[in-house]
Amino acid sequence: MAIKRLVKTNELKFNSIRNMVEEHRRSLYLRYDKQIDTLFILWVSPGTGTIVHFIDNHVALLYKPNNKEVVGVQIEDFEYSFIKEYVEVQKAWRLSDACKEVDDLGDLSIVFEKQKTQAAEEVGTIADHLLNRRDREAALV
Amino acid sequence: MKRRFRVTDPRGIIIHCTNETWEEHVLVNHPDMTGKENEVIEALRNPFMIFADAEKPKERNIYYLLRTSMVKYIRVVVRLIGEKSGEMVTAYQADSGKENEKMIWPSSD
Repeated sequence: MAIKRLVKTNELKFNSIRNMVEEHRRSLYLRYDKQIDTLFILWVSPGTGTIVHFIDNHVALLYKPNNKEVVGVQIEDFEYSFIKEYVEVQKAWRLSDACKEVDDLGDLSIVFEKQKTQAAEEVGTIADHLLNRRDREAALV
Repeated sequence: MKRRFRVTDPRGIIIHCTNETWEEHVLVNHPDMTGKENEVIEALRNPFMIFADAEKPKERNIYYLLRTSMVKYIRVVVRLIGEKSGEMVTAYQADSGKENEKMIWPSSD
């Protein structure tokens, strides 16, 4: 038995991510905390206070408590188990393939930015898929 | 590493938190936890419920404190070290947990 969910997923708002996609903005804050094996992706300032809302055993949405606007994603056990389940994220996360393009530090920074965005996009796709699955399950209930 | 606090949970497990954990893993990742150290201590000392972790049930326990506002929990992750001690890994405000977590305290016995 899991702990009682206090806020339903359908109470959350997705306007800021929708706007970001529509305006083709790509300003993402991405942080991987290796010691706790957790990846954070935010599309607002990292100083923003958020509440964690789990949508599966790895992925949680981060939303602002005042307006329930989703502003980020948190993924736990990222290397231990998450990327093993999602091959596309693993490919984007590992620099080994991408480093074929690297000759110097300048290349490395370009590759890093590209890979970072790609990993974030793959994670976004998975979060979207998990949300849709939750919606379908809720509809069946 | 300098210890920040030490708490005994309701099962008698002694849990440590270092300054590094508090500053680099709690506050950096969840800046809204600033000023909520006492609530984290309360979550460990007097939790609403304790769960075995979804991914590593024998290694990690999750402590929940239900806030008086009733719209969020303080969720504290603890890595167990042996049978009678543990180390706090991180803590944040959450409105839910993971589906595969199993409640271990209070026990149904």
